[in-house]
Amino acid sequence: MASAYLEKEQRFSFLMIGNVIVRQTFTKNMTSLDAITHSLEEFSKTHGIAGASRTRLDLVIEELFTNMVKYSRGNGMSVEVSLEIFSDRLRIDMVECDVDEFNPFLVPTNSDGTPIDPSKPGGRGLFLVKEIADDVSYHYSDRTGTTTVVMKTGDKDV
Amino acid sequence: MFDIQKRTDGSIVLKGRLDAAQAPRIQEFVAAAEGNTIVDFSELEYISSAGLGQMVALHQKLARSGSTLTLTGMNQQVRYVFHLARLDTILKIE
Repeated sequence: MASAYLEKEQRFSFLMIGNVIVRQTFTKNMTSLDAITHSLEEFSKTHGIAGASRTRLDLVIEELFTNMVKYSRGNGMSVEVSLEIFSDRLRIDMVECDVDEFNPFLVPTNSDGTPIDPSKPGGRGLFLVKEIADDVSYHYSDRTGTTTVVMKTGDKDV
Repeated sequence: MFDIQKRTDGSIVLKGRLDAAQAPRIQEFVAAAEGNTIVDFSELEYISSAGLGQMVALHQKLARSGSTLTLTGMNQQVRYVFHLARLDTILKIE
């Protein structure tokens, strides 16, 4: 019963600001991936994101989210995901509060995405994010880390 | 939703979405795989790096014994992810 209530809270807590920004908070746990998928499905249908663009969006958010679940340190228990739509691109901000500084984009990887040091975080997930994104950045201040990705939304298939 | 099954011919079938939460379910199939192995992606909608890692692990395990891994039936989006990860030049994809 409690888990069903929590799922409902996650699914219907979208905060619409103006016409182009969608923001939702997820518990920082792998079990949130289903809720994230449902939310992205609704968002994509509403804003006409399909095909390769939808795949890229799902990948960016999943890979960054799972990286936070696995490697971020601190007391922060949630991740706030914001999606801001422009004419031909999408900005994704993922915010963690009360965490130690950890810039995922500084982790060195080999050219195929495998971590140079297997004992350290990194790997194909972040490699995929960097392949997809036009721009990636990380900002840290007052125990809050913000990971930002900007990606095109044209249905650019291989 | 994700599901994985082994057919009577020994091939492995993946269905649904293979994300980081589901990828550990493949480990037992990787551990049990032997000989030339086919993984059927025709019912898989999505894969992320966790699933890719399992395919690489399966490929490496089979290669050590001189066996091959063949990935079949990918839709355009799943094939795109393998391409992004540059695994389409390493793994046998049909």
